[in-house]
Amino acid sequence: MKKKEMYTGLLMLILSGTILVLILGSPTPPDSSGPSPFFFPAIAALFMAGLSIALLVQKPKGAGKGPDTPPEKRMWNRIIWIVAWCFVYGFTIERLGYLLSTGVVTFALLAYFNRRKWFLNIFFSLVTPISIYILFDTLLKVPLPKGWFGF
Amino acid sequence: MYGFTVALSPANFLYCLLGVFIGTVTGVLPGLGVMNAVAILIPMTFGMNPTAAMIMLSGIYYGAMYGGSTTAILINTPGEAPAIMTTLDGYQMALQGRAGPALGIAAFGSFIAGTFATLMLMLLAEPLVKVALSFGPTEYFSMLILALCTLGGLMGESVIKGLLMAAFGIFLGTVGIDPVSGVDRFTFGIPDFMDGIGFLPVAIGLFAIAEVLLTAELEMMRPVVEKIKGLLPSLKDWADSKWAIARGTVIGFLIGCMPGGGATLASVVSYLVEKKCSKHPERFGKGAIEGVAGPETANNAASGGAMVPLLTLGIPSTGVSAVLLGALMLYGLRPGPLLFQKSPELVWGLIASLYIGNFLLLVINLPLIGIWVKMLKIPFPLLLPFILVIAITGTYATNNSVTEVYVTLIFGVIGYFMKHADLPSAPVIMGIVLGPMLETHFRRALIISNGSYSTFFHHPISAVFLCAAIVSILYPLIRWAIKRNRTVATKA
Repeated sequence: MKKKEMYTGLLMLILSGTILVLILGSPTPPDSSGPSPFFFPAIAALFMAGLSIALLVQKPKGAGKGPDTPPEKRMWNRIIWIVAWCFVYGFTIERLGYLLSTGVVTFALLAYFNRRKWFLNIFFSLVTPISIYILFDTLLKVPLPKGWFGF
Repeated sequence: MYGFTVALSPANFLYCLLGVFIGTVTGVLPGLGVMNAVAILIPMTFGMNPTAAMIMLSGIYYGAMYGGSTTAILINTPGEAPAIMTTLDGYQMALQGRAGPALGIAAFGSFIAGTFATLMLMLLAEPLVKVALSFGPTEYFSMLILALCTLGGLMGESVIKGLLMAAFGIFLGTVGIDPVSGVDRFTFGIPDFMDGIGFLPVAIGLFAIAEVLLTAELEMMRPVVEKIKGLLPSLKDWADSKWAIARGTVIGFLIGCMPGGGATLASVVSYLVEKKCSKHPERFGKGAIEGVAGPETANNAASGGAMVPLLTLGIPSTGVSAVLLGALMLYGLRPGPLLFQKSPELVWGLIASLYIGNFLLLVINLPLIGIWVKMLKIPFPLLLPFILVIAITGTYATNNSVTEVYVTLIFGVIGYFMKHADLPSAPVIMGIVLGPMLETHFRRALIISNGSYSTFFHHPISAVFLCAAIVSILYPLIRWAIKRNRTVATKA
């Protein structure tokens, strides 16, 4: 069995098991004519469990003909950098305000991926938040957070 | 004519133009993706009239189908998955100095296919709506089950993985307050989850954020074929391509109408058919113009075909049409046959805009080819923060909720790992969008039948849908058994 199929099967099996445990622990409404509100999620979870088991026991195409292909070299540092700054963005968007938080996050991402081009990075870090702010807040009338500093 | 009156109003015409332009840009830039673009841009349409919004979003859909060919021909990278077959002969033509005719035939073929698909949609819509209006909750439930089984099973390499993701999506669709009993389901006390997990944060996470993370792993520069001469195909090119365009149009439309068909399958089938029909199949892969005309025509016809089940039955046949379905629901509209009665302006305006959009694509794209080439030179490091920021802003702006931003980011990471595990993302969206509809029809059917589960098999149409769903799940098993029997018979 391929590793990714095994991990997927196991993870989804654990998830479906957890859902079923949560459903069993949930109170049933006293006046329950027809199926319970948890009937449908339970069916979905049972399907997930059954399909996870099928994924775990199935013989993959080409099984036994050779080892799994070696894992590709992943750029974990790039992925972690992007995800971390996105969470920082989520955390600061209402606190610092849209313009400031967007500018900081854009600059942080550009500084990492577009190294040594400081002028260009600063220019885009200023232009990106302002242009998106004008698009959403001014043109489309979708309010964006002002934050502690009022902008 | 009523549709044209709506679609040709200055505002709607402008949104159509904007949609096809954004769609082409989306298709041209590899790593952006049409589903990402549609999902990201939905929040920007909230202040708009739903008709204008749908005209623009649909324009992005078929515009991207066209734009994908430009990248496939010029840099050997499909801007969109359906353009993958175009790389085989399109890039070879570009290397031989024939990028112009390749781009030209792709544009003309797309126009012919798009126009044919729209005409068929117009002709098929009313009869299908009449049939669909006779459906009750029992038939709807079974039809949704069939859609989920075929869609889940056909999207991605493995039926099991597709169905697993669809079931996961259905579960996500049950989070929130149960509309019948008022019981809290899996919200863990988070107020933002009371109305359920929105499809938009999940879609933006699974498509846009995950795609950016995946692209960030790769090398970010690409070589571009820059010299493009003579965009108009010669008479010989037309003679070589005419049957490929005709076959691609019909194949694409039929596959587009089928649940799970989609533009990628249409272009693959069209390419294989062209190779099979050709007197010189050895030319394929070495710059045969039929290898560009067929798939490019098919993928555009498929995006038009996908509108048939979406508008008439409220059933998405591809990932993008599931996102469009979600958008319709966000605008407070109920997709399906009643849409024709309650919002004729939207339906007929949208259908007319497809004609106009296809024409606009032809008119604006060929002269703008130089701009697309320049755009391909924009380094991805500059695009990356822009895509991320606009995706997160869009999520936040939907409900002014930071929780939804976190949901997007979590699903972005989940989507990234799903892509590495070859798990398709589109069935999750199908599940979230169709799951609540499925549950509602299921409960209504049971109330009407006084709790009898056999009602789903007592209604003939419902029984046919359910049997078809069972066959679609068992089909791989049946195919395996037939293959095994043949092998045993051959050995004997």
